[in-house]
Amino acid sequence: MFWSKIWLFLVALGAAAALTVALALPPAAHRERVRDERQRLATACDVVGIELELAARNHVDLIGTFARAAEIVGGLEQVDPGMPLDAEKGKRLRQTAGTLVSQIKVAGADPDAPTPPGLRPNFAWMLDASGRAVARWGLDEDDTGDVLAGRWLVDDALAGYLRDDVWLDKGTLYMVAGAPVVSRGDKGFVGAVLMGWRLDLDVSAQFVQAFKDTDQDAEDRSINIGFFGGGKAITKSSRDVNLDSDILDRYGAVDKPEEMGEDCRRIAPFFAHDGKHEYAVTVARLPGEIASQDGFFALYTPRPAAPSFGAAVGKAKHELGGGFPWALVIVGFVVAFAGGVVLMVLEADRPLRRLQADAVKLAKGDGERMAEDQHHGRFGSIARSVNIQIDKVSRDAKAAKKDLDQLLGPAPEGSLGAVDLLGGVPPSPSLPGMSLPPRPAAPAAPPPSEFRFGDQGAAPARPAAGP
Amino acid sequence: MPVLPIRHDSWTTRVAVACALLVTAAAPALAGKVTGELELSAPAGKPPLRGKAYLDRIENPYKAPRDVDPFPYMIVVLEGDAAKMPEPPPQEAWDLVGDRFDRPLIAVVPGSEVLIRNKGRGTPTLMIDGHADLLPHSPLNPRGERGFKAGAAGTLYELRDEDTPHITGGVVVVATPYHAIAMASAKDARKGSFSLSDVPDGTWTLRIWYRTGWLDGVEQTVEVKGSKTTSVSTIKIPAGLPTAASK
Repeated sequence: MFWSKIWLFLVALGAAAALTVALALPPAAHRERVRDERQRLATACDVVGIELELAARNHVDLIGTFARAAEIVGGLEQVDPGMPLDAEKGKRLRQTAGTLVSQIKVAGADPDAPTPPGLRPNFAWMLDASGRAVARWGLDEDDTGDVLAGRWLVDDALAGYLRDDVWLDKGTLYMVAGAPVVSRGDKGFVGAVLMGWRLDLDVSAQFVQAFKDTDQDAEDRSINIGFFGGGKAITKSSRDVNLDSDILDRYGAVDKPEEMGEDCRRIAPFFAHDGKHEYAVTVARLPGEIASQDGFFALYTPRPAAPSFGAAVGKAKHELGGGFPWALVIVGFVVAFAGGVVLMVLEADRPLRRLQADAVKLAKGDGERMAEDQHHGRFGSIARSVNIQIDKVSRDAKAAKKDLDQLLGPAPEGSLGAVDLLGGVPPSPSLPGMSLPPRPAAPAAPPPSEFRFGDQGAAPARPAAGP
Repeated sequence: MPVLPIRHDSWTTRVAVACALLVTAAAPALAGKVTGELELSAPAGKPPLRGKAYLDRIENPYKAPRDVDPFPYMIVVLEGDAAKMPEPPPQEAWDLVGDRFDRPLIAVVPGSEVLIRNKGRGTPTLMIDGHADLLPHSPLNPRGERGFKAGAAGTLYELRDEDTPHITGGVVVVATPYHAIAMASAKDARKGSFSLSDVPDGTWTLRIWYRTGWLDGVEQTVEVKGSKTTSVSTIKIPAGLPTAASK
């Protein structure tokens, strides 16, 4: 029984531990997962900020080179800001710009390799010293003569600075760079050049490429990005998720830090819905001109599923490599069950059977005592108790026989003594010194000798009821 | 008052009308011209960085960047006897030439109508800070026009586009039509000039409005006689361009 109890205790302990883990771990793991999602969003936000800054640096480097191209400088040197534009000169300048743009390659890369998206500008504009558009390539090519001076980047470029900016133009977001064009003679600044890179789906997807969830499990942890400005959604990295209106609604209530660069770390994520799923969203403002038009980008990822047994099983399936180990669980259960049965048979069932057989033997008169040494533990205690009772009854019988012998004298040779006498005629109650109990009436039921013990030995067979 | 029985077809009437026309036509010719130079006491400095994006702006390595040009924001005004003021012009045209106004700051007299003409490609939604009712809240289409009437002297109307931050402009209401915007010298960025024509005879006070207020320490008295050109001695503009409004 000891080992059975130990086994039961261990199995119960294991089950309790498993139950505790099953109940307590999912919420704890969920909290950890939520923290992890926040950290991932903040990290992704920082990474996107760095990528945008890196892109701006590349753009400024490129526009600086473009502004020094002899064809561009020469073309703008021929433009007099006080005179009407020469359409033919403008056309040639546009073609020159197109040729130069088509030659843009990644430094050190294979010349035959395709230029990655986002490197070549979507437009290049050439301005004279007054800020008037002399030629446009890539966007609004037919429009010339309008004045772009006044825009911060253009004013700075005309004043002699290279810089970047973010513009929202006709519903499209552009990263823009500008540079002054310096005369090779003594004319000073003869104009400025601008280039713009459209932020579209492909470029947006590049920013969050590192955060794409490539696992094939049911849960998608990809982070996507969307750009917003002027109270509208501009572009995003995935068309599958539509959180635009929800994000725009909630953006106004976001508590923004004073420093724009702290947005990723200081703005608490919020949740948005696309009608089917909930997403954790973090936002960061865009700098430059777009900042005055409420420009920002939002990063969002599906919110971790609420803790549940099914989710825990699903997670375990994923962590264990594709399938929940039901076979292991079943084998473990069978082993535990078999161990319990074996211990029960060894420690309870078999000793009980031996005790039962011993008791039947005793009842049949095949023995005078139970074999105590064959029974262990509590069964041995039962056998000892029965033997003690047998010994007591035997001693009482001997004492009674002795008393009768003293009262009636020694029994004649060949008789059973007092017992024999009592078995025939009961002694008279009038005898002095005798007070025997009345002899019980003859029983209606069969004598005890007719009791039979079954092999399994539980209940004695009851006699059949008489008519 | 008795009315003389003059016949309109008489030759005396015709002569009187002709004389009157001659006198009227000759009057502006008697007005003088006032010119002068402005000189900044200190360089205007680098243009302010507006709307920094991801990078700090980088100075072009081949030629030093230009200082900011304050002269388009300076309006030289002659103030004097109100009796000599002509009727205010009915309209002052102000062109939007793309992403800016052709002049960042203009001056008008009280009661003038400022007519904004969109000659660019954009469709800005112009508004005036503090005077939301003066302009309709709707986009101004290319080639479209929009106007408002100037109020009392001393009022500054600051216009801006609701959608883009860089389209801004100012309209200051001054008491006299004798005003001119200063022009920077092509040779020296610290020097500018101005020229006022058709100024009647008399003693005038020259003042300069800069951006949002009158410049301190630049007032001068100007005597205009006949049709001569009066040259004002060079006006030194104090460093820092202090204005009364900025104090």
